[in-house]
Amino acid sequence: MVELRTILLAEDNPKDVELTLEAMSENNLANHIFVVKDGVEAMEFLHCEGKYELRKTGNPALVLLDIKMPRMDGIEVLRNIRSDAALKRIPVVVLTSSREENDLINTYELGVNAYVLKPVDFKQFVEAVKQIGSFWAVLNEIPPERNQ
Amino acid sequence: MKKGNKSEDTTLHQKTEVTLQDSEENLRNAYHYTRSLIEASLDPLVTINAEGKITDVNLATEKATGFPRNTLIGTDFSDYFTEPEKARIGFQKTFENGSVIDYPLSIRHTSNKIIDVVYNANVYRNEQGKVIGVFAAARDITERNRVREKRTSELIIANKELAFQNEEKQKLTDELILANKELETFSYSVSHDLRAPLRHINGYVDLLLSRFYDSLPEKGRHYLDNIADSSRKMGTLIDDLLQFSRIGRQEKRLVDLDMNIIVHEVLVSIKQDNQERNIEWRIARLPQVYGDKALLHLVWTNLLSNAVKFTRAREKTIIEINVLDENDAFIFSIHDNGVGFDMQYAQKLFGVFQRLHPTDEFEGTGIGLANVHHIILRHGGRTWAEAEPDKGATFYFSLPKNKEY
Repeated sequence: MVELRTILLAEDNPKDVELTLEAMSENNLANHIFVVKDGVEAMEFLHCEGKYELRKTGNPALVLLDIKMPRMDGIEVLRNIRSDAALKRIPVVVLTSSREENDLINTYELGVNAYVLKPVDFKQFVEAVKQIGSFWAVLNEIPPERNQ
Repeated sequence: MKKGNKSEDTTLHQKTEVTLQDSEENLRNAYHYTRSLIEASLDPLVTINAEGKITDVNLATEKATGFPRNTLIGTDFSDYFTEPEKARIGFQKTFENGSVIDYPLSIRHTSNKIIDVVYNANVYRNEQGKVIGVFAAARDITERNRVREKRTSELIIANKELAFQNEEKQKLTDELILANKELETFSYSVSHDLRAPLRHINGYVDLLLSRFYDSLPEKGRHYLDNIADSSRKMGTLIDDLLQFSRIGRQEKRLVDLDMNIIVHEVLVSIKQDNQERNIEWRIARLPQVYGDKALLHLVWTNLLSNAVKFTRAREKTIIEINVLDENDAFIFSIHDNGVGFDMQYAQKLFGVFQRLHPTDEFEGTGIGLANVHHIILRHGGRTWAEAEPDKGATFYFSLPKNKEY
């Protein structure tokens, strides 16, 4: 069996979280997902700080990032990840409702690995989540982690 | 002999006297002639001796100063100017250089009225060539100065107005930028915030149908189908609205374009999507235009797919594309032999989400013609249409030829 690695999902809307998890579970990926509800929590998770102080260190195989979140938005999270020597190589995929050109430009400028628009149609949504999960958490090879 | 001599002498004497009388008369005539010329001059003329005393004036000088000739003669010429010192310097200069040209001074009239003048002055000499005085001719430039001042003050006012208008324009520009910014924020929240709940509705309906299909009664499934259908439709509306707002915000990239190429490109994809249809295309040779390629592409896509859509029931569809050269603009037209529409609703055609046909007959959200209208407006043109129910429709749009929009 192929080893599944952790996916960090940063998403503030509980319905989106639930639907994303449903979509993941339809593709047997749900068990490996860790959910945070804004950018601040995402950074705490990645840095093993705050309530994630006790988390076993190690980067997730993928950060799935919503853009519009309270406190710290997805673009800010991406910027923090890319400017941190220990985190900069983590694949980051933006999964958002916004097809705003500015968001696309900004995230690509910051080095996002992919930008996926959440399809309004649920079947397409399930398909999108399946592809993201199986590609980034299964197929994709990630470089070894840098010693801090 | 003597007598004869005397007689000769007398004749000579008489002759001499006559000659003298003649020449005196000639001289008087010449004097009167010259004097009349001097008096007739509208410019004040004055002669001044070496000591600066006025020796002669003309009528115009009397008028300019308000003093009669006999008062003026013998007085110091500089007394009659607002700046006597400056007048004396001008006099001095004339002596030094033999002349001055366009020397500005102001004469004070007895009524205290000030007359602005410029002086041209020359020295005059006696028979030995010694300078004995100055001829000075003045030109009244009060009117010229008044006109200049009036122009200057008009210019100042005009400049102030311009500055005000610029300020106003800047204000409007700022407001426009702000409004655009707000629209951007609005579009962003439409795109993000409105789509999210829709996605949720779709998601849960789908889950309900896939997980609990068997336990749902027939009616329950029917309700859920309708919910799904409506939310899908709303998704399309939101996407259309976003596209519409983006057309307004998008920078135009205006270039010279071959309309034939654009129409051809649009037709390729329309024909691809309607292979089963029997459509005769009658397309006139189209001109070069100046516009945004992507936006005009959208215009033709909307108008031609409409023509195809509303001729669906025809066994044979005929769609004609024509152009009219109207001096300062091209007028393009798209005529079809489709279902047409009632002209009393024509003004509604180009509004956002306006539809003249029921959705179950002809699909669509009613954004297409609003986009066409919006785009053509942004190109400085107009859109309109003519039709009759069941007799087909003709859509027109104009594009100005000049590049200043």
